[in-house]
Amino acid sequence: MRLAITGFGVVSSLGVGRAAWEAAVAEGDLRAKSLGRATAAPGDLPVAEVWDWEPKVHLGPKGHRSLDRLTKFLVTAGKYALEDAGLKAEGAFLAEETVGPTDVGVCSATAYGSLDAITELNRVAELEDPRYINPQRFPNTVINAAAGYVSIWEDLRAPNTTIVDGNCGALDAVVVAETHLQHGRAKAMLVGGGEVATEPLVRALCRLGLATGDGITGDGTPLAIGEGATYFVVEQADAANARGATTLAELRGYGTAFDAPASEAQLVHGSSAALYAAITGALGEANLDADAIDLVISTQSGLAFFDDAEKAALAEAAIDAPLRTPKRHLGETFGAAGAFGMLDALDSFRSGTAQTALVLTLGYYGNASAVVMQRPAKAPTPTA
Amino acid sequence: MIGHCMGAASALEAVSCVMTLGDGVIPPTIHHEQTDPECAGLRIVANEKQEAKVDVVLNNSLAFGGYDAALCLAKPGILPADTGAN
Repeated sequence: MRLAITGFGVVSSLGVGRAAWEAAVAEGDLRAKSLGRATAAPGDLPVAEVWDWEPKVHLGPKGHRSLDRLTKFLVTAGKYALEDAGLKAEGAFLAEETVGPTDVGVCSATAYGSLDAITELNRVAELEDPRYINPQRFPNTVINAAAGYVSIWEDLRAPNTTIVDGNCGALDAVVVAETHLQHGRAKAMLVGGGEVATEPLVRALCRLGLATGDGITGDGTPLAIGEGATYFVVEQADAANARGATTLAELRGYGTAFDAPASEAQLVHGSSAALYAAITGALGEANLDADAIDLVISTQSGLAFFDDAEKAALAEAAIDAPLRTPKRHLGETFGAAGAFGMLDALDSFRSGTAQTALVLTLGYYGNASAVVMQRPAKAPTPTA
Repeated sequence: MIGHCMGAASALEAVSCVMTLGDGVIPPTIHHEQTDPECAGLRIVANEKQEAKVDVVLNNSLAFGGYDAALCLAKPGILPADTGAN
């Protein structure tokens, strides 16, 4: 795998757009900026909401009234990513002969993106009357609709795929995008995902025992729920160089695995075996040894039984690099978590604190994925 | 015959395509009464199965929101080797 990241767009609790994101990261004190008390969640749970979200600022005054919150996040992130990569400006492609509408696709991840719309539709049908269901809201119940609107808004006509496999979605989107790029179905792909912190989701997590504070780790920090969206523009590395794009990072390896829980009665299952297999798969594809990794973007969220599974997998893989834990300030963003992890790696590359990063995701039911990213200017020498 | 199975529709259709390649039986579109004039050029297998030598099958899926996909299935050795192109 040798793919280039040539731009990104972000909607997050730390700000919207690359400039706001990088300014927040530069200022530091991210937990204080990011975490607060939920407007959508019951009880006293910490959440990382997209504070003061105002879609008109980013999408203009019209055309998005019927779109749900996730769709607006994704459309905004997609718009800014395309502009950041130098592909579009003010709604138009800058060099259609090189990369135009038929050349750009979307690989977007979410785990619970349509839960709120489904819950609302069901609430109206059950508690009011099915006749009161708003047909304009129905498309939002279809989980790939949100990513579909990204293509509609930006006039992107290459493949559009939504990946729904829990917390690993955004990293798994990388390999789907690679397939489309390798087969010539697209020249550039928007890769990433989004998630929304909604009341039904938070209530479900509380019922599962994941968001009650039971998983508090040694530092006393409970699981925080997060939301937001991130898209990267991903291209074949040679193609990105040929069009004169700035490469922010290279994607060099990917691995994934699934390890079934011992019992069907088990509601959650964080598997160190799956994560170990994902790590070794990613390192193998990147042709790197464990000691080439100088930064791990951890999947730690505060849930001890998942965090312990990650520690065990890293120990078995003999990776002893410093850990960054973006979920401790951005919250758990589920299907989008891998994208925010990749964004965290970009921050480390930009600051020069890392050359090669391993980004990890660990699902709630036995799946795990890993991606190896490299700072483009100074790559470690492969082992073979 | 089996209704619209939404996300599973194309997988079920692919099973039918594979069986057609293997058995040489084209399943019919049942309850067909009248052909739309705009579909006059299509060879619709209406109401009764047909037996035929089938080497290549095209399986189309069109979703409600603009997503379209097509899958080409063939008997082994019928098509040229995969070139890696689209």
